[in-house]
Amino acid sequence: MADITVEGLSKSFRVRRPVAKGQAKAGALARLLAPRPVVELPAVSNISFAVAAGERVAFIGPNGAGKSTTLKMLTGILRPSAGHAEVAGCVPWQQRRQLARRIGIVFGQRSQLWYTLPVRSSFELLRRIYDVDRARHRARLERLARTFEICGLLDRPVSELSLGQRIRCEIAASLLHGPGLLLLDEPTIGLDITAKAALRDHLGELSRAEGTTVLLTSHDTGDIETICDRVIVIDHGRLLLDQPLERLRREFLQHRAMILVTAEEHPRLELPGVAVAAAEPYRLSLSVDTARMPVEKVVAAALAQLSLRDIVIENPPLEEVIKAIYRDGIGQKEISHATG
Amino acid sequence: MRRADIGALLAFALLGWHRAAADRAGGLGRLAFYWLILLIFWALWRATPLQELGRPGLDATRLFWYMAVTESVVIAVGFPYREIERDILSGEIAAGRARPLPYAMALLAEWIGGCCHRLLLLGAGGIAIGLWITGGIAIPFAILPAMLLSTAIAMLLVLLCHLQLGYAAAWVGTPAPLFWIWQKMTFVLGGLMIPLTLYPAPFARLAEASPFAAMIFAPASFLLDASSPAIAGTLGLQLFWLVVIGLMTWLVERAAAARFAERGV
Repeated sequence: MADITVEGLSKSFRVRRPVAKGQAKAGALARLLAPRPVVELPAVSNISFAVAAGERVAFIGPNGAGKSTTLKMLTGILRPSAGHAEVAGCVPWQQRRQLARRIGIVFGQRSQLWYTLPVRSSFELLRRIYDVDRARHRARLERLARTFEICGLLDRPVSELSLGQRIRCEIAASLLHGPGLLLLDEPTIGLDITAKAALRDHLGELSRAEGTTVLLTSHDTGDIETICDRVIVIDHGRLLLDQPLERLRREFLQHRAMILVTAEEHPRLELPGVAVAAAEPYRLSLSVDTARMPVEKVVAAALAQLSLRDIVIENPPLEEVIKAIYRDGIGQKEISHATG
Repeated sequence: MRRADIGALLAFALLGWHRAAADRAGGLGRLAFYWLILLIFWALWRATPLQELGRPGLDATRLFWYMAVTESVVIAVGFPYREIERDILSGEIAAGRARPLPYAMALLAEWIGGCCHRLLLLGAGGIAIGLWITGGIAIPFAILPAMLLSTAIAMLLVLLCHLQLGYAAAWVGTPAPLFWIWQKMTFVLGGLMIPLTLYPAPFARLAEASPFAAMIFAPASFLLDASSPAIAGTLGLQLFWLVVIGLMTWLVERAAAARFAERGV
C-alpha cells in the first residue's frame, strides 16, 4: 500500500512583475502607480509518483528545482494549483491537522523546537501536542536519544546547541509520536562532513529498524546513498528520473573526486581505475572509478605510498548528475518506466 | 477542539508563565517602568487643582489607583505581536502550521500564561507603591471579583488585537505602523491616563462604547462607578467586544492561513 500518491501535482506562484527599466527612472509616485501585471511562475509542473510503505526515497534536485514546494504541498502547508495527492490516507491541504498526527516533518532550515527551552522541555510540549501517553513517550525518547546520541543534550537549551546537534534533536522530535512516514526537507544543509555522516547513519539505521517510510529532499548526493533506496530527480519543477539507487549509482555516481595534500612536492599514485585530474606541487586531484577501485583501497594505497597531510573525498555535485541525465536523455524514459 | 488539545493549550499557558518567571530582568524592568509612570502621574495630579473639575470624589488618590489598573494591563501585555511577525518573516511559522495544534491558539495560550504572571507581579508592585504613596488601597473589596474578571477580559481583548497585528505581517511585512495607530487609539479612546468620564460628553460616550475602552478603561471604571448596573453594563459591553474581536481575529487568521497556503511562507 502506498504511503504517498501524487498525481499531476502542479504549483504556480502569482507574482507581480518588477518595475520595468524605463519606469525605474521615473519618480517614486510614478513607480508606485505604474501598473505591474501579475505573472504565473511555475514551481512544480505536473509531477506524479508513489511511495510505498517502508520505502526510503530521495527527492533530489538543485536549488529552486521545486523539491521544498512539493514537500510543503505534501504536508498541507501549500495548496497546489492543480493535481491530487494523498499522504498517509489524507489529502494534505484538506486534512492538515489530521495528517500532522500521522507524519513527522523536519525542515532543515526551520526549527520546531523552542529556542530558549531545554530540549527535554520542547519534547514534553510535543508530547502534549501529539497527545502521547507518558510511558510511551518515555520509552520512545529513551530509544531516540540513544539512536541519535542526544542523551547529553536533553537538558541543554536549544540555543546552546550546534547546528549538527540541533538537527539531530529536530529529527528525534519529529519521530517522538511514532509516525510511520517521515518527510525531511534538506536535513543535512549547513552541516559539516562529520555531522552529516553521523546524521545519515542514525537516520538510515532507525528507518530500517522501524520500517519508517522516508521522503527526503536534498541537493547533496551523499544523503541519498546512505539513507535511500530509490531516487526521484526533479529540475525546473519537472521529474527527470525515478529509479532505484543502484542504477543511479551505477550510471551517475560512479566517480568520486579525491584530493590528496602531501608532504611530497611531486606526489604520484598509480592505481587501476584512478585517473589524475590535476597534479600540482604537494597536491594531487584524482578521479576514482568506484566500480573498478573502491575508495577505501585508494585511501589505503595513498596512506602507504605517500605522506598525507590532508585528504578530501567528494561526491559528484548534483548539478553534474543532472547534466549527465539531460545529456543521456534518459529522464523521460525512466519516469514512464517507474510510474508504469 | 479535542480534549487533548485543551491539555496542550494548558501546557502552553504554563510555558508562558514559566518564561515570564524566568525573564527576571524583563519583569523588573516592567515593574520599574510601571512605578515610574505612577510616580510621575501621582506628582502631576497632586499639583493639579482637581477640585475645579467639579467631580466630587475624583481626587489624586483615586486617579492613582485608576492608572495603576489601566497601566498594569498595557505593561503586562507588552508587544507580543512581534513574535508572529518574526515567525512570518523568517518562515518559522511553517513549523508551527505543520503541527496538529493551531498555531494561533498555542501562541495565545502562551501569551495568556505570561500575562498572568506579569499581571500578578505588577499587581503586587502596584499595591506596594500605592500603599506607600497614598497610605491605603482605594479599591473596595466588593468590586474586586468583577474587576479581576474585567481585567481578564481586557487582557484577552488586547492579546487578540496583537494576534491580528502579528498576522498583518502576512500582507504588510512590518506591522509596526499599524501597531502605533492601534496603540495611540488605545491610549486616547481607552482612557489610559485620564478617565473617559473627564472627556467632553459626546466624545466620552463614543469612547466608552468603543472596543478600546473595553480593553483599558473597563476594569478601572469600577473605581469611578461601582454601582451594580454600571458593573453589569461594563462587563456586558466587554463580552460583546470579545465576541466581535474574537470573530475578527478568527477571520484574519483564516485569511492569513489561506494566503500562506497559496503563496507559501
